[in-house]
Order: sequence, then C-alpha cells, then structure tokens
Amino acid sequence: MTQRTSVAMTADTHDALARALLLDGREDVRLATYRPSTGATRRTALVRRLVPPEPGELGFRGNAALTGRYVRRAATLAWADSCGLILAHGHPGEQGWQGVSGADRETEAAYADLAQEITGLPLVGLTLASDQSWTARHWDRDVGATVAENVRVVGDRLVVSWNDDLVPPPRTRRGQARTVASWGERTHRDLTRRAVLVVGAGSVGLDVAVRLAATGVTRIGLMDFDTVEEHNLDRLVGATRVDAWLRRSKVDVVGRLVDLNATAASLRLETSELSVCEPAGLAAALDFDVIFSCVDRPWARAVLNSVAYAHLIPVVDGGIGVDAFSDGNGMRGATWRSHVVRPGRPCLACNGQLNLAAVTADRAGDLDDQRYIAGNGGDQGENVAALSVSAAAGLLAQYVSLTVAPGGLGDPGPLRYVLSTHTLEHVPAHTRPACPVEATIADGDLALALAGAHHAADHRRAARRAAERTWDVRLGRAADDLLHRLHARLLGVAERRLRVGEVAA
Amino acid sequence: MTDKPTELRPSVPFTIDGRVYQTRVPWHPVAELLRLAGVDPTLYDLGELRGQPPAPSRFAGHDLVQVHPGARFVTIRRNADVA
Ligand SMILES: [Zn+2]
Ligand SMILES: [Zn+2]
Repeated sequence: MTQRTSVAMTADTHDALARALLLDGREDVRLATYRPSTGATRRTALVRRLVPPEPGELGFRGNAALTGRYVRRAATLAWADSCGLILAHGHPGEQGWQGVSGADRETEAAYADLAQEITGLPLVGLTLASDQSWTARHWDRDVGATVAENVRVVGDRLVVSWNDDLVPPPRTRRGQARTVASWGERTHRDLTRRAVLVVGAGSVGLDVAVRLAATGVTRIGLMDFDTVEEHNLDRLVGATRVDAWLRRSKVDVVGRLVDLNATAASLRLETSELSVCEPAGLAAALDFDVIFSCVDRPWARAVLNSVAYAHLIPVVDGGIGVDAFSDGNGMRGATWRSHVVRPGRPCLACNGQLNLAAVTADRAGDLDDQRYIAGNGGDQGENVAALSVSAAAGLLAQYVSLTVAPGGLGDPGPLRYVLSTHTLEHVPAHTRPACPVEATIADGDLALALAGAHHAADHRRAARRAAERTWDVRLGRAADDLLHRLHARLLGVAERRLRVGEVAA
Repeated sequence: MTDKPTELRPSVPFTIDGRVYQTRVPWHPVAELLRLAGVDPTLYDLGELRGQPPAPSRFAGHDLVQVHPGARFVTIRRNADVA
C-alpha cells in the first residue's frame, strides 16, 4: 500500500465545504464522499460530494458532534457511489496546517472502522482552518492515521496546503534572489514545492523543463519513451550529435540539462521512459501536482485530457503548428496555443486542440502510416526552434497564472497566437455540460481507462536496448559518461568556491 | 451576339497569406476562399486584415465574404499540437 497520501478537490467543492464548516465562527462538522486516485507512490482522495446532515443528525456538546446515524447514512451513500467517506470539520480562529488534537483523533478513530466496513475504503479526516488551509489524513484499518503531504484545491488557480513536516519548504539560495523578488518568499516556497511532471521531452518539453529547474522547482518529472535522433537536433537545444550517435533517450538528455540548470538547493528529478498511455506511465503521472502536456500525439493528449478532470490534476497543454506553402516556396504562417485543462475550462476536444478520430487512429498505430498522414491534411509535424520557444513560453505563462495568479487573476483560458499578424486571441471555447470528459470530474480510479499497451513505445525502447549492446555505442557512452562526471565534479568545485566568496562578502 | 456578363465586372486582385489572386465575383463563401488558398476549411479560419495596425477580423464558417479590390486575407490555423 502506497503510504504517501494527498487530497484534492475543485474550488467549487472547497467553497461549499468552507461555507458549511466555518459558518459564523462556529466549529462545525460535515461528511462528504471521495473517490481514490491511485498513483505509483501516492494515494489521493478526490472529494466528490458533500452530504448535508438531516435534522437531528448533529448533536452539540460544546463543539459540533456527529451521530452514528449521520455516519451510517453518509457511508451508505458513499458505498452506493463507489466512494469512501470523508469526515470534515472546521477550526475557526486557527491558521495553516493543523496538528490533530486528541479529541479529533478520538472522533475520527471512533468512526474509521465503521466507515471502512461500509465503504471498503479508509476514512479520510479533513480539517479547515480560518485562513482556508486544509489538513488531511487517511485512516487505514490496522495502520491508523497517515497524514497527507498536501491538500490541493483546483480552480482558476491551484491552491495548495502543505504539510511542512513531510514536504519542508525549500531553502532559497543567493542565486535565486531575482526570482524570489518577483513574487515574494512565501509564493516561492509554495511554488517550488509543487511536483511538476513534463510529459514529452521534445523541443517544447525541453524548454519547459529547463525553465522550471531554473525557476527553482524542487521536484520535476520527465516522461518520454523516445530516442534522440539527428533530425531532432535542430530543435532539442542542448542535445548534441554525440547524444544521437549514442542513442540516448530524450529523458536522459533533457534530464542532464535540467540538472545543469537547476537552482534549487536540492532537485528531485524523476525520469521515466514510459508513455503516459501505458498503465504504469499513467500511474507515475498521478503522483504529480501539475502536469505539462508537451506531447505530439493525440492518444497521449487524450489520456492527459482525462487526467485533468477525472484525477483533478491541472494539465498545462499547448503546442505549435507551422504551415509551409505546399509548393515549398516560403512560409504561410504559424500558430501556437496554450491552455490549462481543468474543471471549469473546456476540455481539449471542446477547445479544438484534440481530434477524437485521430486518437482512435493513434491507438491503432495508424499515425505512423504515411498514407494516413497524406489523407489527413499532410501534417508532418513541421517545427522551428526559433518559434517552438514561443509555444514553451505560452505554456509557462499559463503555469505562472495558475500557480501565482498575478494581479489576483488565475489562468486566462485558451489562448492562440497568430504569427503572421502577431495577434494574441482568447479562443472562444467554453465548457459544455454535455461533454463526456468534463462529466468525469473526480471519477478517479473508476474513470474510463484510456491507457493500454503501446507498441511504438515498446519498439523504441527495444531498439535503444539493442543499440546499447553494440561496442561502438558502449565505448562512446563510457567516454561521454566520464566527461559528464568530470563536469559534475567541476560544478561541485564551483559551488564550494562561490560559497567561500559568499561568506567573505 | 453572345452575352459575356462576367467581362462587365473588372477582375479584382486580392491576397490570401500574401499570395495574389483575382476574382470577378464580389461575394465568396469562406470555405471557397480557404480552398483557393490551399487549406482545409475544417481546420482553418479566415481573417481579413483591417485597421491600423491591421488586425485580422474573422468570418464565421458559413459567411459570405465581400472581396474588395486589394483586400488582404489570412488563413488562421485552429489547432497547434506539435511539441
Ligand atoms: Zn478539530
Ligand atoms: Zn469537452
């Protein structure tokens, strides 16, 4: 059983709970339901629905008290919806992450077994302080309370309550002074703790990941099954002919660049050679707080589209489209788009970025077929390093709005930049109540699984393994690895010398 | 004597994405202009450059577009999904 735990909810659910729990400064208690979202190393309880008490279901003994009747009714409702039970209460007058008092512990422990008996899932305890920060724990039978590492509220901005004991605020360093001055120490400590996954280590993903590292993000994931090839080198800035010769995986190369550019005192870099379309890749993605979708393919985009709603992990998606004139004579134009996919915003199919017919073709392996490409507009994935950086910039700006809310404004909705006329447009796309993807909010593990075996990913990894066994590549890698180790040593020396200067200054 | 009505209207030059085209017909459906430019009307929008600085004002897919002499049109790609 994964021991890292978390809770996530939409901003609407947060508002409904806050109204009930902190009404006129009284400590109140409510029951709600949740669906589990199970990642490779983290379990998240996705808050689904508040269950209001019926008359006589709450007693008052100094502070709010539950009745067994309320617990049994709510747990039965939860079970009917394949949910677990949440016991939430308010701490008026308190600030920040809350310790669990003896009385709270007793109440939650008293109902934990009953809740698990009825629903089959552990009870989750939630506490809301006056400053709107949450505290949470899972109550597993025979284990007791596992305190969450964070509680995430997903709206036009992502608001995270942190458990400082489990995820301590990162130490800021002198090299980060200008960054910290841009949004303040408090925002920086929050932003740099949010685990960010970059899916797709191509031109856009590389720029995004390197800039997250330079910003000081302390936990970065990289996911891509692909290999660096010569035709990537005009866009993968920082990858070299050596990497193409030695059949380095894209995540190895981009990971090296991320490491070199990281400003955090310590960076936890997690690379994966899986596709997010593979069940294990999807599980790895569910461990993160924010996901960048820097993928080229519709299937991966469809999986991430689903994750944004079903698992309440905001997905920052976008990309570029370049058009040459078909006679090979000049450039017609280019467009880059960026958007945050989350409850309250249109999904990728509704905002025009994802073609569902292409998802089916991608899953069937038809997208590598030249006849399919020719029959569907002939798009060959044209891209230019001079412009892909603008797509990356668009994604990063959306991420800053979602994370920091400059001027009090969160994510702006879908944007499109037209290169020929240099105009930035708000794409006129809206959420649709009838959209099947947007209807899966907080469905969690029970959401329709789009993941499956991915033959192209298998094939790429196998080709890489085969190349790694040749003498040519083995010798080249040994030399290349030695150079990188020497460089890492030199960086260590530089770090110590700079610190000597810091003490003397 | 044969009637040649099309020659009564002078040929009008206009551009799409900077390339010059001619027409003797004053109104064209959006999709027709997009196809003339060589793009798929289901994947592109049409804009006309107006004002100073010129901003692309858009047409809905079913609009009829009046082509003035010297009109400047641009095609605008809807999706941008390469990364
Ligand atoms: Zn309490
Ligand atoms: Zn939708």
